Amino acid sequence: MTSIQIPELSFSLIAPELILCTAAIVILLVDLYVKNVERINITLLALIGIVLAFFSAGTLYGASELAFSWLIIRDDMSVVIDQIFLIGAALIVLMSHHYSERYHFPYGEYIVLLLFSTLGMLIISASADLITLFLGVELVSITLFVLTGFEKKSLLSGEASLKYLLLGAFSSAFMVYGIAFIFGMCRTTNLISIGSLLSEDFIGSPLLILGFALLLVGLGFKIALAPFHMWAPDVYQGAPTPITAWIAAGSKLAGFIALVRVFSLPDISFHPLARTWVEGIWWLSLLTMIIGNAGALVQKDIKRMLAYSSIAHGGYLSMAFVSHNDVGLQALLFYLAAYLFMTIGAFAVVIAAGRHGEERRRISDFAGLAKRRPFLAAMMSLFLLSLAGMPPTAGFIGKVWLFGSAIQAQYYGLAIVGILTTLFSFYYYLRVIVYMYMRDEEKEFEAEPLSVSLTLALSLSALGVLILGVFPNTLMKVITNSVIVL
Amino acid sequence: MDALLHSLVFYILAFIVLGSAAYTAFSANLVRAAFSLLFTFFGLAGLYIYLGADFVGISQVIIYVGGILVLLLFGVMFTTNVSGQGTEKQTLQMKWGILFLVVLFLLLIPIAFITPWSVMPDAGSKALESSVSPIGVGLLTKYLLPFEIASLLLLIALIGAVVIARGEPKVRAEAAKEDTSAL
Amino acid sequence: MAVGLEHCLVVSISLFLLGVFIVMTQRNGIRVLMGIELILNAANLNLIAFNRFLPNTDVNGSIFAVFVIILAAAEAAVALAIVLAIYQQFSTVNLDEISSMKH
Repeated sequence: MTSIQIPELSFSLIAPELILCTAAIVILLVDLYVKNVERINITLLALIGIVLAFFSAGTLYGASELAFSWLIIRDDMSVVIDQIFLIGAALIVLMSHHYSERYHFPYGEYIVLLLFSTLGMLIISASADLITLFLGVELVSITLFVLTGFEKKSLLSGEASLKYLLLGAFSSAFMVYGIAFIFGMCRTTNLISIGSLLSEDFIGSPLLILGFALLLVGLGFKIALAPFHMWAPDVYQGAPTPITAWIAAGSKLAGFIALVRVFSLPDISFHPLARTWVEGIWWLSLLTMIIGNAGALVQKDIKRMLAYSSIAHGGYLSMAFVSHNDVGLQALLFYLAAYLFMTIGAFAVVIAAGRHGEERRRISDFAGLAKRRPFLAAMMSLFLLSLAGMPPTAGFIGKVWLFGSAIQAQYYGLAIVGILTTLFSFYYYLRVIVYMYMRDEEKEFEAEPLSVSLTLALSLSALGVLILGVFPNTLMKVITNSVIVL
Repeated sequence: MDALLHSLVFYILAFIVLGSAAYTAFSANLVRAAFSLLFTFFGLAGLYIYLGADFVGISQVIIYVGGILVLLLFGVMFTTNVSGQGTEKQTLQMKWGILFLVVLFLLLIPIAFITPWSVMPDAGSKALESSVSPIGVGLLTKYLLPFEIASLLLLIALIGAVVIARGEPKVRAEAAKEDTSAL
Repeated sequence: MAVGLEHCLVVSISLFLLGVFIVMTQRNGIRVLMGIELILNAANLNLIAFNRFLPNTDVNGSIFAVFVIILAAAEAAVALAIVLAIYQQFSTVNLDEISSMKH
């Protein structure tokens, strides 16, 4: 009988994850044992957990360590991303507080699942091994399948959750199959080891490429890259609106971070595999930009329109992998942060503009909103303009940086397509604004009064969009430093 | 003779797995498809054990056959008319699907064969040891963190399944009221 | 012919393709789930075969396979709950008939 060597457990390096997990379990127990617990208390508990996790992540800057037998990497990039995720989660909790009152969800379980999905995202951002990456992705996916189906009175919600589940499980299976081949070729699942193995000698096998391709397809489903985007519009339309926002912002972010972790392996850039990889992404990016923007042009439902807009943004974002340089990675991180604020903000307005049993779903429902609710209309315009990429918003800086990275890497064609499709996108974003300001409403529609939580969520997102747009330097500096450390 | 018997076991298991999986794919009757999956899972458990992964093989029997397959069967029984067959129509898609299947098969199989595997020289005849103890040690040392994450995964699956499957909270409250009034 | 790694890969690839075939051609939600289970099993077979035939793999492949089985169980539980909820609403689990979204 050999004695078991317990490896060194550096719990301090995963403090944000531990805090978030504790918060979720505390809420689960409180909801179970305390009778008639007020919803506000659950919200506050969740927010306290998120804020604590945020600050504990902040103390980890400069760590740059591998922990838990090389399964976890704690570098500055993971810290920045963790903080972005946590801000997003806080905004979603605020939105959910309002929305769940409208539709009477089982709120405790809802928040618990939301926190666990955030936990999954943090795990993805810190994983240095395909096992942790895979489990993180699954934690995010399974919680989101359930959360999508939470609105039980709505047929759309159930339908969306079934479609999401089937395609999500299918893509996970693809991922696992790809990982199995990678394991076979490299004999390890550790990303750092794989990276150094590949940089030493090209294990010249189509099977390895097949493995990475399957992994790419699996993750491509999760971030809705065309042609793997079919599920997105239906799921976005059917899911409860805060969850739609979380799928659009959080889950997409997580998917991109997973891609960063897998495909920005150290020293892989001069590897022959990188070429195949860049070509593949080039096509996906091009297709996604075109299909996303073209699809958004014809939508009548606001959530579907935002879904296609989110697909199109996936195309812009994946440009960073094509340019495959430091600038691209930095631009990606910055744009992901900007994208999170503007997407969550836009969906928050969609929630605020509705009321119980009657949502403003169609774009034409937004007619005359400026007269009735000038604040909401102004907010919506801000977020839409940022999504379109108008200065002085965060969307503008992010797009310039992203397209710049593609130009720097001499992918002029892709950059031009990006700029052209951005110009097209102005049409459908501006259409909503025109409806809000220039058209009269067809029927009386009084939205619910704005609650404190929703106002907070809206103004924080707006603040995020504006600060990143006007003073981008702070975040830029942090991101640039973190990528250099990498 | 011994080696022949050895290979024969593999071929029989592989035949069971692929034959029943193909039946699942092509059968028009959902109930039969689900039951034929039973043979696939059992055959795979046999293959895992044949390949020296005894722990995974046993887990396969307990979890897949005893858990997942039963869940699938419940799903089938709840949602279809058991005696009714031809629940699905054969579509034109089927032909394209088969074509696609064959093309991919012919594409992928050569890849597996041309790949230069650095197979262990004695792999085929290596004496098999139980993998239970190394897996247990691995789960509690190197893979401690994933092990914990997996427990969270099961926790959320539990919560999620209960939330989705149970009725509306209001409906339950009314039902409880009726219960007490009946008393 | 002695059984080698290639034989296992052939079985695994066939299983994978059958799974993909089911997902692509079948419209019944539960049938699609069966296809997904086949793909997951194909991946497990790969992992275990690599573990058996390649040097320096310890039991890492087996451990990964255990995690995949855990995932499959979690997914199946959630999937059944969702499928049943859908059946209560639509009285069918055929994906073509479940379509209430306006485009």
